[in-house]
Amino acid sequence: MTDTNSDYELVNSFIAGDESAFNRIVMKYQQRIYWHARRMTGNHLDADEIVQEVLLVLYNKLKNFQFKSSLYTWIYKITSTRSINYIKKKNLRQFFSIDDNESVSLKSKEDVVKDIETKEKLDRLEKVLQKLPAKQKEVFILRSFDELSYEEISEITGKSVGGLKANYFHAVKKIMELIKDNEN
Amino acid sequence: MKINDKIILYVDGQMNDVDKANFEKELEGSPELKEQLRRYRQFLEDMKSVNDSALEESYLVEMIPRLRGRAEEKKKLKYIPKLALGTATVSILLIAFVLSFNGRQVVKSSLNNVTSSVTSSGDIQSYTYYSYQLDPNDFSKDEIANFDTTLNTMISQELSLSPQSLNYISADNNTDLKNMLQGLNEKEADDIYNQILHKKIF
Repeated sequence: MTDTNSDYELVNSFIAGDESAFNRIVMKYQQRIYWHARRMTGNHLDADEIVQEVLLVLYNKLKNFQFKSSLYTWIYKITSTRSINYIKKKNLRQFFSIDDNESVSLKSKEDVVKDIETKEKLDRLEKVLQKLPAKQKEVFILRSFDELSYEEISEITGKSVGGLKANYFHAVKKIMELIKDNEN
Repeated sequence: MKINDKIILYVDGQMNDVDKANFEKELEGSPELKEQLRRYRQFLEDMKSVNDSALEESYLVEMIPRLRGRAEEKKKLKYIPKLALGTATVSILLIAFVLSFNGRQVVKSSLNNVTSSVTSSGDIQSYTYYSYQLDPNDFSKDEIANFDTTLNTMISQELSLSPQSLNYISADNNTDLKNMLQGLNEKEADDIYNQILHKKIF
């Protein structure tokens, strides 16, 4: 899926003190990180916040990276964990009404997707995805959009393959029901 | 129509060849099943079509400079909690030191005041209160002897005892209680008994 040798060289260059190697790693993975976070959170501002957090973690921890897993798996792991934690915090804030409705609607307006047709499509899809529980959504996104195998997802999430398949199954079933309801 | 679970297994590639062939036959015969599959595939295609090119170029270009700025900011902020913790610790230690030093001085001076005039019950309460906080090492032998005398005076005044009787109580710690009791005459014993009997202790 990714050029592992190149990742290896980039990480080693960064460890050796070449800061530009980090920039190349960011350029290589920034869009995947963004889209994973975006699909998880359903809006640009939250996704951007997660991207910045993930890149900061990457910058601080990359020097200790030992290639026990591939770099992209590790990056997905950080992105996935951060996204889920972010969603939990956000839900908590909403529960205690710290996030008011105005800031929520502002978040939905601000975007870096400017093409109107694409944006409308994205809005429709995000509405469906946001109705899934975080864990199901995570598996669904990693499997359907990032096209990772269950073994890779298991490495990222730390869950068993059986459990992931069950989560995926429930996620798809719910999505199909939601699509059907929307069309009706 | 209810969602057919087989669609999920089929799309996810979890069917073996036989199941797959059977399901495809089933699909041919069921327009509704076909429609369910079409809708779901459309959803996936739409989602995938919202791809990387949809993002504004400027956002991606700005990502690294923003990250660098944020990293610098965090680096500066990193020292603030440590500094605050250090300042708080030093302040607490200073306050504790000052309080403990002043506290001992206050206790000691208060006690000296108590021994110089022991007449009212308020003084006795002060003495009792402060005596719990005393460390014998804080006082000289003369001071301790002074306290003992004061205490003896207080006891004799309270119990209306003769100096001789008082000796049995406060003479020294080596005096055996049995000997002390044997030394009391009947009148003294009655006096003590009556005093204790009518004394409001609490």
